[in-house]
Amino acid sequence: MSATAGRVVRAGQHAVRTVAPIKSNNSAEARMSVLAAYKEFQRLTPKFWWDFGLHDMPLGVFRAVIKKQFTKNGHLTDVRVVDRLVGETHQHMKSIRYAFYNPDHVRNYLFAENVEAKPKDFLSKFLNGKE
Amino acid sequence: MLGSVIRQAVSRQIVRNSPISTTAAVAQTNQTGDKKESPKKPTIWKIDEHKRERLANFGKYAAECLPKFVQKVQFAAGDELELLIHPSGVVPVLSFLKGNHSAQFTNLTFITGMDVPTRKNRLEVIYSLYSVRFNARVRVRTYTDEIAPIDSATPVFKGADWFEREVYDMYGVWFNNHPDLRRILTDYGFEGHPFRKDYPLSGYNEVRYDPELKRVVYEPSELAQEFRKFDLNTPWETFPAFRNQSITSGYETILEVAEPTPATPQNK
Repeated sequence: MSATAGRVVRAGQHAVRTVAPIKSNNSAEARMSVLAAYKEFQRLTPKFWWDFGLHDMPLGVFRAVIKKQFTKNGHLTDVRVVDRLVGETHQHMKSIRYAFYNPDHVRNYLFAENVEAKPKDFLSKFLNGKE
Repeated sequence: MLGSVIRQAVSRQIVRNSPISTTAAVAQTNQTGDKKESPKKPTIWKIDEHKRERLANFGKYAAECLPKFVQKVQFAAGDELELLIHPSGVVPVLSFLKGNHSAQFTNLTFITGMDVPTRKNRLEVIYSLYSVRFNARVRVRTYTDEIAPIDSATPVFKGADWFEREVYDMYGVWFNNHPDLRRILTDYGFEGHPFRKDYPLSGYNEVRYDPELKRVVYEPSELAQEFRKFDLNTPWETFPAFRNQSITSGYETILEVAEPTPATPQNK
């Protein structure tokens, strides 16, 4: 926990809320922590790929899958949310090293082949019959 | 429609007439009988005033020893002491309650959470401690929001490990310096936190075996329309004699520290 004072985070257009940072004080520190977590995860990827039976794809393709898991959260700007996700990433790495997960959980989490992607634009939503 | 309205009125009149008279008469006779014959009925819980006074004095003493962290001292359900503290003071307050010679609350009974979505800090963490030496119980309550972490109580009470994992699993409260913070009751890769008030009753996913993929897969929950509506209000009135009384026993404030600055999570 950082010893600095509270920091102002803009919660709405006019509302300003004073919160204490979780780990990083600004976006640069959060970005550095994300990059460090990404590098550590990519160092773990060969073991992950081998131990959890993901041999049906090459290791490079699996590295791209891991990278996609990081880039799909690239839109986040709240530093506290980023810090929490980094903490959860470290917990995921620990679970992978200790084999808490099993191959079915890993496949369901990384590839959800049976789940169709949600429609994003109006016409797709209209055609799928969902609001 | 009109027939149902008339029927409701008739049934309401019937309900109001017979149970009130019988219950009131029986209650009155019971009360007068009890007061005259025996002052202590074994089936009615009696609050030990001496113990309550000692607990109140201890609450004031704790508030004096920890003025930085204790924000409120109150009694719940008549004789249950509760200390409401700032979230940064979990480890100091628990260390004080465990190690102080006048406290000796060495047993961590449970850690649980609470979710009140209308509050600014919606999540609450509740620690229950028991003193074998003094045969006394105390509850420590603190608050947080969905993101801000709370210091783990594991350095003080090693038994807090699984309790905090359960709070993390069910409510999503993050604990700093926890040795092994992961889910304990739900599945690996579970989405959401089931004990939050905004978690749907049917959950987000359902599970089935897929013969094509040869494994158990998760799918988003799909319910038929008639199963979506959860009408949870019962049509019967269960306690007509206590219609005008509160269902909860409420809190009695012993000591409240007036804070000049508004309390924010982890405000140091």
